[in-house]
Amino acid sequence: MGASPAIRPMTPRPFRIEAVRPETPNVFTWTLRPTQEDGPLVFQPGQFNMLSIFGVGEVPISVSGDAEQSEIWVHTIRSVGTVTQVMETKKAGEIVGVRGPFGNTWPLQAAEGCDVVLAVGGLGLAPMRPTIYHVLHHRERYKRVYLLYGARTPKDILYPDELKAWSESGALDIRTTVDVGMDGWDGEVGLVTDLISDIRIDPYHSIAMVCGPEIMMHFTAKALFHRRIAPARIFLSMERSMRCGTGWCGHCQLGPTFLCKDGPVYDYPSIQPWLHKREL
Amino acid sequence: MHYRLEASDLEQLLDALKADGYALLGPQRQDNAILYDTLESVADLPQGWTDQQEAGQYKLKRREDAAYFGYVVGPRSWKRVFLPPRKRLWSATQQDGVWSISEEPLPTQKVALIGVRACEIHAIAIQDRVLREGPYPDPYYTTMRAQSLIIAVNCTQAAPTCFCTSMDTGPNATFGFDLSLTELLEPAHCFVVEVGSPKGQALVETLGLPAANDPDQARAQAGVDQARKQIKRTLQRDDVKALLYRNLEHARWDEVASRCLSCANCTMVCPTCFCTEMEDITDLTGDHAERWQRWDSCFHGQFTHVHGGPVRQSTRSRYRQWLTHKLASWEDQFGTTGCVGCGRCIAWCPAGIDLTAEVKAFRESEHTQENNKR
Amino acid sequence: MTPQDLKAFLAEHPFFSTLPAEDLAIMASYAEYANFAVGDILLREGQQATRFYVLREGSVAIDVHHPARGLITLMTVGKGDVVGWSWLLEPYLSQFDARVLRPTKALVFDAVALRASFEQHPALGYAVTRKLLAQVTKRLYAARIQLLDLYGISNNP
Repeated sequence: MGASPAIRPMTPRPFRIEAVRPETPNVFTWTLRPTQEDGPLVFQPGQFNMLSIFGVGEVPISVSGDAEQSEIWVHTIRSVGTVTQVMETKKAGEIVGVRGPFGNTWPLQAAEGCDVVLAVGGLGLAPMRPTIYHVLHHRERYKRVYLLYGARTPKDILYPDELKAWSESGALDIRTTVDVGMDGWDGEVGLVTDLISDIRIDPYHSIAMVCGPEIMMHFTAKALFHRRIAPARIFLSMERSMRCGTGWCGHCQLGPTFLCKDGPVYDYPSIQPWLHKREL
Repeated sequence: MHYRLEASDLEQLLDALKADGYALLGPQRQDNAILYDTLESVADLPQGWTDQQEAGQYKLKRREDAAYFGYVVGPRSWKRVFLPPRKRLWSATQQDGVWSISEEPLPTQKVALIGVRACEIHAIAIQDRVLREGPYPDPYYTTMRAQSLIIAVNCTQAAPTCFCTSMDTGPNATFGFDLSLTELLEPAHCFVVEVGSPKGQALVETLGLPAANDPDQARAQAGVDQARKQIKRTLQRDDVKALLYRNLEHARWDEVASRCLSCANCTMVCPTCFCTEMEDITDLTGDHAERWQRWDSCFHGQFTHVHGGPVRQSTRSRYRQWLTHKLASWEDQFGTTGCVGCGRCIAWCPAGIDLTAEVKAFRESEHTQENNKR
Repeated sequence: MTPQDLKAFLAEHPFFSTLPAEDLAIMASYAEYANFAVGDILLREGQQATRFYVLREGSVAIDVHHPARGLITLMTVGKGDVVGWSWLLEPYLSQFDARVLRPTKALVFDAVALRASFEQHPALGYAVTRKLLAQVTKRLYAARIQLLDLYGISNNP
């Protein structure tokens, strides 16, 4: 537990929704502030919180804010299940519960002095955003930084204004592709993998961080090998049903690991035996 | 140093524990089974009863003697003391849009567990690794463990479902108890008592127990040896992890899935299975909410639910998860196997599925393949 | 680009690099190097497939026109990719539009003459067919993954 050791790990703390920002269809971002002052909110990029609607349920949602902002939590949520659908109806000023942060972090220190490839698919950009903020705050520590982003349609592109600003600042080389090109889209259409063949990296001094659906991560990792990035330098953020965050409940097991306490970030060789195994 | 407790003085042991503030939990005959529940006195014990077990079978039967602990294990393990089937974690109340959350008070009642088998002591130690020794100790679990006292009873008979000798967990308790008892019926009904902790030592002194003589100790040892000899089931443990990991796509999983009902009985009776689900409830006004933690099972359909559906849809994948977790990935996670050889999952499986037979099937199919290659 | 340059370029390009020198010479004799501007149409749906392109740089959209939804880009291809394989199969009609999305440099092949030359050089015909099949496979894989609508449901983690 980050914030308050006095509280038991299963007890949420009340937070007020300070702002609700609609993003793409069914996707919105919450800014949450604790109702009681209780020290800074500390997290590492890649970690997640358990967010509760009282009486409805609890879901794991990655932190997608800036780790240097220690007085709020920012979460981007897609309304897709029972709990998140109720979340979508909540307005600024309402109270929700928060536990966390849980999980491990992206290899931001190991990536220092390296070319960095951030490959994200769909809503995978949300968990990656704290990493992007970190890189931008400490841009001099990293060499070339690519953000390769695969979205569903042009309408589903998350954080378009920020993507534009990051790209225009020259701090990040951003390449975006969509699965379906429409609505006047004049960018790439196809898989994220196609973006990988065209980046300029020093494969021996590169680190790749991949976040998206499991199949996307599987083929992205393969494409990264073809660019000669060593498997141990490729990191994936895995997804399973996390219910407790503490390793007690057993739901998020994948082979020998608990995603909630050992993950969600894994280097490719350690998760590879359990990746892409049917119904594991 | 071993002591002797007359069978007629067993009540005094219970009284001493009660006087020390312990609530007693122990075996008794309920619902045609021997279950662990609140114990008032020696009269509650299943004296003169035993259990008959086989794959898919459990039956109580009268004994011809007056043994208090003349049964093996029933469907209920001690895990419910430390990890209750259902417990409230917190409740929250809303007033004028402000939620206040109150944590469920932790239990304060000390408990004495009477009649803990050696395999069950190992099961408790295994759950300690999960719920007490990880990065997030479970407050309820650690509290109950700290205020529990364990009176072990060594096995002098085994069921056909037992395989503790393969798992090195029995038939006699070697650690993790305050006192351990070995029940002797001949020539006089008594218990040989071994002390396992300062608390146990204090109890022995309170009761003023005399030392056990050599013949008593020899008889106690003979009882344990007899149980060991009765155990016929085996599970070859040394390479089972690699065996299962090698065979994640083996056709045997389909075969066992054709028998498995995915009923979750094995996980409910297992003394080490710890999976739970969180459940949120609310009243009609929506101003009062509670979160409960209840036992869950990897055999349940929604256990692996992610957006779009469960990851493990087939019974094949769920049985594979259960068995590989129990015997393989548990080692990676907690440095120990998740099986203690108590045999409950074998007896209480309505289809009589026997994990030791499943492991043998995997091993034999590999041998067959090897031989075919030659 | 001189014929010699063309041959050297072909030898370096992954699409041709495994061909023996004499086959490279044959291929080069049917190729010319060209630059294309944004909006240029390389192939038009339903028209005779008389050319194919091997991209050296740039980006080309494979489009289909939907009566109600307008122009839909099915995929984009770039460096190292081939545009056009309908020239190899009857009735030799292009199935989609290929539209230049970003300034593009490419080798343009006279597909009709090349196809005719395969009658004399069946081994080369087989080699080129295999290379095109690899491209088809890659795109079929991508199309199948796109069909899965992977980003439609996930909420990582």
